[in-house]
Amino acid sequence: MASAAAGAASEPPMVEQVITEFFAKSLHIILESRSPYDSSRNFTRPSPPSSPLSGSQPRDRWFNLALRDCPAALENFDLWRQSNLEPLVIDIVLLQRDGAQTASAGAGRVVERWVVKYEVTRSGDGGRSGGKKSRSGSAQDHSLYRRAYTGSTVLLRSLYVLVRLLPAYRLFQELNSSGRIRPLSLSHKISSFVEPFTRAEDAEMKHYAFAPIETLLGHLSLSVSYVPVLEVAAAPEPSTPVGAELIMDYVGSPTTDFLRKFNSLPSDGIAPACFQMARRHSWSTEHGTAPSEPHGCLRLQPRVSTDNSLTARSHPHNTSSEECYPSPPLSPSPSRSPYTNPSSPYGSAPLGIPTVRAGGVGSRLPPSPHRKDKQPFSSPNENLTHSPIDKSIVTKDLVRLGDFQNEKPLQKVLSFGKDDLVYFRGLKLTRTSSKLFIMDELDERELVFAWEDKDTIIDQLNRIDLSEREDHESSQEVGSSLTRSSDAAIGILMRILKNAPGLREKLLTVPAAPVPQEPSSLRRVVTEEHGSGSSSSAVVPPDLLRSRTAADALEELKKYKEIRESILSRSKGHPHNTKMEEKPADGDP
Amino acid sequence: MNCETCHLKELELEPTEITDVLRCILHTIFFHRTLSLVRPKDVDCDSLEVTYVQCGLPELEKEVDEKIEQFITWVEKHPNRRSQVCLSFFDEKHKHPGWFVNKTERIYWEQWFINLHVMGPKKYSKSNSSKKLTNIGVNAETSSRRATLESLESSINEVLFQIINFANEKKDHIPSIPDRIFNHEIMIPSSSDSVFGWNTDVIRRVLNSGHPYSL
Repeated sequence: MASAAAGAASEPPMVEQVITEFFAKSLHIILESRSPYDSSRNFTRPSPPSSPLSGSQPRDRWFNLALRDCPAALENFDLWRQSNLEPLVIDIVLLQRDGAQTASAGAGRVVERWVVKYEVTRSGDGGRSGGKKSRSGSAQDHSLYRRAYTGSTVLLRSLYVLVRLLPAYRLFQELNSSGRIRPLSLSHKISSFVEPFTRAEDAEMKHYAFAPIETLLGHLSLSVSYVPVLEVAAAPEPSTPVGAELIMDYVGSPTTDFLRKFNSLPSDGIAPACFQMARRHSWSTEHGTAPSEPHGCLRLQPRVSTDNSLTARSHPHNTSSEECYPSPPLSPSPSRSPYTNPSSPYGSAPLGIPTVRAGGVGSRLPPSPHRKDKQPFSSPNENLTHSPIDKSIVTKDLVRLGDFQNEKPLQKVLSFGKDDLVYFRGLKLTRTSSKLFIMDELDERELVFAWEDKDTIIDQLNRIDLSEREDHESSQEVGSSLTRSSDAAIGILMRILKNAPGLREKLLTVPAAPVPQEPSSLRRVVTEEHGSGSSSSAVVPPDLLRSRTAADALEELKKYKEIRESILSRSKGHPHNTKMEEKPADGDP
Repeated sequence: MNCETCHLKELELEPTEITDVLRCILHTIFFHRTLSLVRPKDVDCDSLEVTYVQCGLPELEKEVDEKIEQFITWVEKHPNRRSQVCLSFFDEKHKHPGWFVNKTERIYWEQWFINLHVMGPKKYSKSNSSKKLTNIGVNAETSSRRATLESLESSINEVLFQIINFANEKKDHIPSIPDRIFNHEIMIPSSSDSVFGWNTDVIRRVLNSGHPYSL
């Protein structure tokens, strides 16, 4: 400090200014490529290519190096300028935000340490410089200034290149380019004193020092200690990218706030151990439980994230989740998706269980966020992704929930769910898959209405189903009746034939009315049966008619025979006898 | 004025890597020796995991690319040979006008020699396969290729460090900073040359009147 003050006192103002700006520029260059900020590859300050000066700021003119604005660097630069020419120590710290690293998150790991310092040398401090000054005057100073400035300019260019050669730059690129939230992050710490490394840390690091820049009374130096291989950065990168971001989304998403939704459940018993496990996993980063939790958590995320992306299925190793969701699809239920991967045990694990338990498919219970949960966030892919597994879970859970028979609401849910489940399967296969897909495409706001619509649709479909079932049953009845009493049917036909218009036209008007004109013979038979059962009064006349015609026919035949015989006999001798015999015949019936 | 020379470490590479490697090295040198105002531009190599910095001067980029193309053409005609690309910085000094001499003279103050050993792809793969006879199949070839690339990347890093060191250690000879890029020349082997063909080119080089990179 004293030396810096002495240097500041002794150096010509121009050189002093160069030193000050050198510190600032160094800080800017380092932080530009280490602090999460757009690097110069995205440099888009408008300027004609032929004229780099246009659009440049005064600060860019220093060392002829136009850098991108870097707020962090500038802020610290302003702080720095108020202080004296103390050493500038910039630690680049690798932070890990995993649950396991919560203890060490405050400290982080220093992966680079840049030290910029100005040191006054004895030779420059004594009378030699004064002698120089006195002898050569301002021309000498100008020469020194020029050399220092040129040297600084070159060194800062080298610094610019070097920060891109070190391993931390790759990590910076990864963190900065992807836009994903990762468990790793780079931070920086600026101080004016060198906090010594431990022996192990020091042994691990490599050191590089630029050739110092000679000034009038001292020299400027810049050095870096860096970790040559960032194992931490290399190892977790492949496994982290999907997880961390989805954790944040998952936890923060109101749709995944299972507790809140389960508050409205009729019973806590609905949330079984499996649900608790899911919660524990999903919040494990915040609780920071076991050292292995980050991996479990990361692996858990794909389960959650399958709701949003198919890529998240790339970590199917979570044994605990398999414990939680051991269910392979219990039934080869018809899939809504050709893209589903049945081998993935957690297509929609955390969502599926509570939501289904909460409401079932057709339940009108308040905690019925099942479809509410799924629909608003269901891109087609989502539904496609987890529908079959979801269904299997539904089935399984419903079966399991059947054990909780002490709770009537639960039973209600169960009964609803079962019916609807069966119903939906049939539904999909046969009639109204289009309606279901339409509902899948509804967004969240429409969902409330969709929910109601869905219920009504379900009811309607149930009714259709019931009516069809009834139809089926009735047709089966009819069919069975047909098979059972074919003789009776023949009898009925015989009756119809017998009910056919009789020989006496005056009697035909009465029996002709009850004979219906049905479209189908089956229905006709049924109604005939009904008719035979219900309208006995209409049946009686045909019976009477039938007995009459049969008797009359015979009698008439007999009478005609008698008449014929009498005529024949009369023609032989007594024609009036036939008239006498005919009268009693008329009065006989 | 002394002419400082820097001989960079020789790099073994395939023809397909020439563009990346030469761009990286040439632009890094230019960046260190372009002391006028620049707006640095980060560039990632196409085939290598190396990031280098350009000065952000389109004309310079065009010139570099043209020279690289010429060099590739030369390499195609002269496969599997060691070659050199020389980047020279010079000052121009006006001479007294005479009857038979040019009016300007080039005074070279710095030269960078980029040493390359471009190997033909076939021979390259042969040498690799002979080294690793046990590794058969695509995976072995891929891993071998990856190892070769990593080796090249490491070598390039060394070369870049070499440039940084040289550029900072040798700087007193640099002329005063102009308002434009220093006069320079990129020399590549020509068909009439011997092994280091640019020598002939140096002899019969035509004096130019500088470069149009003005601010």
